[in-house]
Amino acid sequence: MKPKVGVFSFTSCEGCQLTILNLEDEMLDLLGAIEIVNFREAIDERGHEYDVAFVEGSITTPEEAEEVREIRERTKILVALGACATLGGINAIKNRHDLHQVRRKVYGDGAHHFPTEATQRVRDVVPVEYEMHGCPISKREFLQVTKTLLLGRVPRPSPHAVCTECKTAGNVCLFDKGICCLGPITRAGCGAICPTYGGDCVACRGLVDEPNLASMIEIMKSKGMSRQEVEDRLTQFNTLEPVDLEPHFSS
Amino acid sequence: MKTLVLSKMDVPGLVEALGETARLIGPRKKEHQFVFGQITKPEQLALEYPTTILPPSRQLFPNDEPLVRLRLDDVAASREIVEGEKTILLGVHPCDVQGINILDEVFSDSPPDANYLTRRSQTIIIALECQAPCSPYNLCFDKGTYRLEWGYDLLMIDLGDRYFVFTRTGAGEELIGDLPFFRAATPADREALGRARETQAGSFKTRLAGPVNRLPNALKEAYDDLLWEAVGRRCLSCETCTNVCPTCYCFDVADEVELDLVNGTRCRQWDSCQSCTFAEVAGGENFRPRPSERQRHRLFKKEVYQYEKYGRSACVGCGRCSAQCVASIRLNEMYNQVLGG
Ligand code: SF4
Ligand code: SF4
Repeated sequence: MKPKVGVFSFTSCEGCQLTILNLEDEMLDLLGAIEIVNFREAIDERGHEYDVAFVEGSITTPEEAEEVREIRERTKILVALGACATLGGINAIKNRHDLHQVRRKVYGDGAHHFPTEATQRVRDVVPVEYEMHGCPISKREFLQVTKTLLLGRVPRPSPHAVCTECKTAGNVCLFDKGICCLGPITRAGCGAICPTYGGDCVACRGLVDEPNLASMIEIMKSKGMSRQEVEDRLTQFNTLEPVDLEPHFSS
Repeated sequence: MKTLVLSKMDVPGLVEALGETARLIGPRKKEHQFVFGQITKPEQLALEYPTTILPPSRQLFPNDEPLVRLRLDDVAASREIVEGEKTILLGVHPCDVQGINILDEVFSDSPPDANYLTRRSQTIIIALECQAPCSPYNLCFDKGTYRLEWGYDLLMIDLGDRYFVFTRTGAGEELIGDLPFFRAATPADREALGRARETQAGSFKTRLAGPVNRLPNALKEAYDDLLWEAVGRRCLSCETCTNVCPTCYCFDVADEVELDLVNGTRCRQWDSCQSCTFAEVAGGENFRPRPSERQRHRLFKKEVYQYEKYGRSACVGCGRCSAQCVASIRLNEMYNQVLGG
């Protein structure tokens, strides 16, 4: 019997689901290996029990927290999908502000109709077997992780920094062009796609296991970045990884 | 050994001729820097280059190289993959030739690495001497690698409007055997060569505070030096210094299966002693958990361990690790600290 798979979405742009749907070349083989029983974006619901649940999005309302707990009960393996789910990502930027003000700003006078909580990663609410990082996830990693799970093995996230993939690609380092890049402290797995196309890494895959933030911040400072700029860069996707800038900027 | 001359006007013709006989790899411009890549048209070749992002030795040891075609349902039906095709590496600087010499030695060591050696045996190297140092960080003068006597098949030296060419091997001679672009060197060419070499010798300088042969002992004496802590505090463990090194050869091996869960490929990926998990072993023990220990290991590997094993340094002085480190960690500065400079 083919393993049953569900794909679920919480607060996000749903781009990670689209990445799965965009696996056009591999889709038939993929459907030969798994049975998708729940995927709102793609099919009518066919079941409530899963071997693997892929969960996209962060948890920002009480209902979402309830729903993800329910999914956890119905699945053997839960994989958090994409930066919103694994890091809080862009959604967590609001955690840096007063949540009442945030609500008013977004919903105006109707704000009280929309309960909102501080953004949480999926793993803050339920246990997670694997976190697939990225904004959006990489197709390659999705397939690799899926195949590894199908073989009954444990997928390993890359222990390397984005710089390793950037070097492998033979890119000109953005620092050599005067651009500050977060590649040295960001977990690899994306194939250094942003630096390869000239854009700086924004750490959408989260930080490496042991990021040397103190050194990175000093480097950013030496490139002329202000405290605010450093903070904005480091928290764009990683608000939930607290960084103490005080020792670096108190004069 | 033959001494020949190649006019720069004939380089495009030579590139076309060589490209017909083999895969031609040479320096190409990439934005404001240079990389080794395939040359299919003469205008892609940029022979006057300071250095490249990745060294040419990586062409012989590519990342993600397939090693075994796997059959998960029948292991005996798995097949090893050993590939190589006739390749010419053109415009390789002497330090990078020495990088390849070192990889030749390491990969020939027991057990011999069939993948590297097969590719290497089908590769011809046309070296090109540098006229001046390529960066403030290279140690090729101290390391004696700005000129090299061996490791290449042909050697070119820039004389302004032409190249002086030495043939070093039979394969090199054979390669250019019938090509119409080379003529025998005349006394005037030899004189020009003498002048070029004089200018060259004058432009390279020592950057080290002591003789290189003191490095192994100086490093050992500095094993507990505070230098490593200071470097470790800055190091990002990004692995750039090792990925761009012409003599780094560490790799990891991983299997990837296809969606049929039966067929798959075992590949090797470049790995690095600077990664925080590199020295992690079963049970979770990590015998080099700190960046300071990993940086010290990098230098010891180049100057102490390989010296003890092969009687030579494994740093060819190309300067890439220093030039490309985002944290501005400079090998020459670390060497000078242990040499007491
Ligand atoms: S561009 Fe960014 S990711 Fe690439 S090597 Fe430089 S710092 Fe690393
Ligand atoms: S390139 Fe620099 S920061 Fe990166 S691992 Fe090497 S020494 Fe550390």
